[in-house]
Amino acid sequence: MQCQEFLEFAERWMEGERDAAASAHLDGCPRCRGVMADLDAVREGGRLLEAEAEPPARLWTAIRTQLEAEGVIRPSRTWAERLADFFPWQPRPALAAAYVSVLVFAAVLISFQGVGQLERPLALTPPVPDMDALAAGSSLAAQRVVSSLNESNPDMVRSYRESLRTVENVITECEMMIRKDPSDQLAREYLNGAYQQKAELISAIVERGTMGEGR
Amino acid sequence: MNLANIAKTAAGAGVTALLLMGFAAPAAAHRIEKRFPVEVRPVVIVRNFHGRINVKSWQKPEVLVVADHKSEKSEVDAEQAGNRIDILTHLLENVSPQELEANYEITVPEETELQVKTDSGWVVIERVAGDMMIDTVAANVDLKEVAGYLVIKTVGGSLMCFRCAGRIDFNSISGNARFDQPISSNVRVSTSTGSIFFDGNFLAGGMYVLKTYSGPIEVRFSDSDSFDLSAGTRGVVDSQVKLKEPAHKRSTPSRFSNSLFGTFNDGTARVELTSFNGTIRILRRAP
Repeated sequence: MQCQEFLEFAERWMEGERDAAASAHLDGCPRCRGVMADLDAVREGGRLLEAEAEPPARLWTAIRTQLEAEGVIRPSRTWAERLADFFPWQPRPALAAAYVSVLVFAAVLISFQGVGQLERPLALTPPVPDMDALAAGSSLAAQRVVSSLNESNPDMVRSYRESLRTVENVITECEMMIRKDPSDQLAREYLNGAYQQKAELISAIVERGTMGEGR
Repeated sequence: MNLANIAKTAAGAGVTALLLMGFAAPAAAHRIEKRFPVEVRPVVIVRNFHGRINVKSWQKPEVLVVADHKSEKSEVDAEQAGNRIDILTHLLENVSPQELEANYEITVPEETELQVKTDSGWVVIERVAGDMMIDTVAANVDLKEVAGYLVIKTVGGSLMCFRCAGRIDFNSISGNARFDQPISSNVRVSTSTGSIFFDGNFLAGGMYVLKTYSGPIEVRFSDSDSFDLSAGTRGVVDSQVKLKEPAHKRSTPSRFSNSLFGTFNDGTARVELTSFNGTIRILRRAP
């Protein structure tokens, strides 16, 4: 199995499915192991976040029922299916990398918007999510993706590296402001934009990295 | 002169000649020139990695491609499929940064659609009318007297637009955008840390949306302009415009610590300037 085939299989791997060829590839491929480790780390961060931010089950059920009745959300699907909706046009390797950012993005949305909106009418104590773990996982993945780029074009690599740093700085600043004032809608708007930019950036880098191998 | 001296002199001359040949040899050997007859409004697609891409127009129904590349490890293809010309740089094996460069001089009919994708270098397009999609990482983009639906996306590359007409969308993370004398009624610009400079007329019915995170925004207006203005930032707003109160006052407080809303003359165009914490300047154009 080659890297691309493994990455096509990656979302099923994340769902727990195992395959002899995929396992053999993962054992012998440090790059794919790194990607999977990052995805695991970010997903684990997401779980922690979910555990901290989760309202009581009965409350969640009531809200879900209400939202489904109003057509705001649809019955749940797997996380992979939901994330795939964000990048229907992307090749699988790009999708795999984009998962990292989208997962973080989704987690942030849940923590800052979903829970934030829930707590107001229900007067719950605002949870404090472990954003540092998520940011660290995401940043590590981003750095690894950049380091996979072909160094034959230093201007391009520099531009990607600096832009990722820029976007991560925006994310950090906006998060700090939201921590100070959870009702800061402008910071949320810019934070969401920065996460989208980061996901697009990582997707573009992976795409160029993949093109660089075969060109 | 004895034989030994003659041999020494000849050897010296030979070495000199070889050295000169060595210095004179590069680049020219990798030049290609191709001509393609085309119909009205051809589509030209360019994909490069690094180098300069110059596109200009002429009156002939023909596309001329002149390319030179630095290395035998890269290859330039220019092919025609109907009314579409594909111009691509291929890398045959791993190359050094110096060997990556390929430069293009492309001449197209005045009405031509362009799609340009490159990583770094420079893209210059002059006097072409047609929809354009330009996608770069670090390459700067210069557009001079072009018209159409212009979509420019960069990661760090900057845009200079001189007398551009049509609809303009520019999106970047750290690239700057500069618009001199645009003739456009629909301009949307977004950059995180880059700056935005707009010096042109706001056309009646036009929509101008300029947005940054921390980069400064500067727009110049003239007394004959007519626009509804909405400007907001947590940085500084420096304005020379005297606005009439908006007809409908906002009931919700502004999300910005510094903002400016109102109408200048009849308010026929709409101008939205937004930054998270960058400076916004709205200055009167020098007569």
